[in-house]
Amino acid sequence: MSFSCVLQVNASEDNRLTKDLTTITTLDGVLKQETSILTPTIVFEYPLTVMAGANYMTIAAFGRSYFITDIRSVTAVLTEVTLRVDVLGTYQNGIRACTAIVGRQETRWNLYLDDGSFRVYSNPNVLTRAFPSHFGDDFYFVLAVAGDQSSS
Amino acid sequence: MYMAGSITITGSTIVSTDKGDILFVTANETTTISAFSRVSVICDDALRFNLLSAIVNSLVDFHTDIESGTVYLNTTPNLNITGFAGYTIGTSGVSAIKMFLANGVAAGSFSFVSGTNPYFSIPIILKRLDNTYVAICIYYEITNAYQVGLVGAYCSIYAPTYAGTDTIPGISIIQPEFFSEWEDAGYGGTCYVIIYNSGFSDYFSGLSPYIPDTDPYLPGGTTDEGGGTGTFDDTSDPIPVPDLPTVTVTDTGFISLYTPTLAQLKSLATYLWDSNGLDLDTFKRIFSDPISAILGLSLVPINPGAGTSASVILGNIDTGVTMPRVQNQFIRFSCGSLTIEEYWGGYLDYSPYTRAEIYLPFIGAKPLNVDDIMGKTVTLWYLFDILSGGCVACLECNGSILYQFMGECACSIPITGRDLTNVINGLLTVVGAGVGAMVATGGAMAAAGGATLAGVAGAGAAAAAGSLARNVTGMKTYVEKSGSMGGMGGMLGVKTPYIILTRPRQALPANQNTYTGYPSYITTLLGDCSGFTVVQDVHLEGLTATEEEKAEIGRLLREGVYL
Repeated sequence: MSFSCVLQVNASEDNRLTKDLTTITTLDGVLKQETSILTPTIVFEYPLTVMAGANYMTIAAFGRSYFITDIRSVTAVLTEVTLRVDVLGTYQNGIRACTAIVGRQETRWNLYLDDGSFRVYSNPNVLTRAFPSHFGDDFYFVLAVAGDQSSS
Repeated sequence: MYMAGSITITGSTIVSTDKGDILFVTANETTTISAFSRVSVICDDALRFNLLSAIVNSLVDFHTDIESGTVYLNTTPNLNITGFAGYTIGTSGVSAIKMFLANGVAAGSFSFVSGTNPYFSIPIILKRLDNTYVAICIYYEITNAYQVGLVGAYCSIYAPTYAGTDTIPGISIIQPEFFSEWEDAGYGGTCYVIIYNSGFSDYFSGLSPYIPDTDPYLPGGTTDEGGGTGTFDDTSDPIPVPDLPTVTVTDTGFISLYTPTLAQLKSLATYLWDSNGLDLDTFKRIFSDPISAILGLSLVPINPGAGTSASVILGNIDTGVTMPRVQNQFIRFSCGSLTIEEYWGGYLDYSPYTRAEIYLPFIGAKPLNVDDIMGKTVTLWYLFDILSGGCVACLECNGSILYQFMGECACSIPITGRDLTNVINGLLTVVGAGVGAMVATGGAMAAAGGATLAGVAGAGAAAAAGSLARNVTGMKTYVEKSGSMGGMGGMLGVKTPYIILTRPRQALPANQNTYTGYPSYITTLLGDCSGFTVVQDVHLEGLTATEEEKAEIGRLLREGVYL
């Protein structure tokens, strides 16, 4: 039984949920015998050149998106494409609905936390902050004399 | 965290016993029991669903932590139930007595034992990991010639404060009347006791048989829960600058203090060394020589305030030299306030990355804990004693004195050869102490630095371009900025107090947050985040992914993904 496969070009990092995809074409393919839904091998009755530029595939029938890990020409008109499921792209909505403890984040951070990942130069800045009031250069004599002289 | 819960069920007759309150459900009334330590409930068939609902709801109310724990189901067989005369197998038509879990699996057979004490103990309980009981809920089902089905239920909910053994005291409070009536009604046939646990399954997942401890260390006790009982009281009592002493030396009558001008001092010196003006015979009745009447002459950096002028009297001899008296022996002087603002607005502004010292005139440089002053306004106060020359510097941070340093502000002026010797000896002592302190500190810090350096050496090239912040700051040596600055040192040294901040310079690659993120450590919906995110812990719920896919998602989230 054949199913529709959308061949695409993924310009994003593999670890990005929402991929930057460009669709090349949509082809019908069939599953190779004894294959897994996570790492399926799809057989297309097309020459390899038709899908040579693709690195990503979406198969609606499987409800999954896949990275293309290999494209192998079996015959002149028969091509095998080996896939690996892109769990981030496939389940991106579900992942976003999950609550998590986020260890590091690009925009939501707390810089008072020190996780030891930052580095500093060996030469620090040394600076001084003077208090506004200080002692002057004037000194005052103090003479201490024995005895009570308050009566004088 | 346990919370006192409340339970609301329909119908009530409460009987208080020495073991707790019993709630007999007899009518369609609403009863609320709150803040209980244990509640036992017996109800009939018609109300069993209300009972169950109440049990489940109450567990949700006050056992909010139970979801995270493992609950053991003690399925120890051979129940010993007494008080059911005639309910042994083979009597009164009882053909079998079994105990069932809600899912219908028999946990074990038991027998009723006739006796005069109509109570039983039943070691089937829901336990938490710390061996405190949670609840027991039993339904009685009977099958005989008269009826088939549930005839009653018993439930005992335990507050977490109970720490008992495998014998649950709550069971014993089941009143005999219930079972007597049951028996009197002529019920016979097969009797079932059903431990109902399906209602708890949503809350107590992973029930597993309770395995009695055989650990020989067990009599020594097991780990207790604890902590979390702090007051979280962040208030701080203000510690203000101390008041000046109200009693002065001059009040004693033994000493008089003057604050002369230079000209007045010259006049006094002239008088002392000119024998024409001094009646030595009279003077020597008290002192060996005139100069002995002068206890000290010093220079102080603070104006002691000129009081009324008076003629200086040495012994009983009026010198005729007039000079103003010191108005205040103790003087307070404010050096003003400084606000130490954060530079980075982050952890780099604090120890061990940023360091702080304070230079105090007449005292010297002293280390401060930068955590005490960062982001705060600090005020410096000096308290002087004009007579002794002692001074105390008080550093006030946000309304409280956190640091106090003592120093010497007066510079003694020798007026005899003996005084000069004292001054020189004092100076040598001061210098020696300062050098010793510097050497000791430097040595200790050098040792620490050396140890750190040895550890860093293995890191190789990492130390060359820049090291982890904590390593760099940890191996920096600390050198005292000054020795003691009392006496002459204070007179010649800097007279402006200041704070020295040693601030790190961050080695930050451009757009680091885009590549690795910054520390976050918040619990949030992942959909509320954007950009690079490293997840520390996540509960993947609601996904239709396979187990392998979930594991992969968890791994990727922990490694970091772009949301």
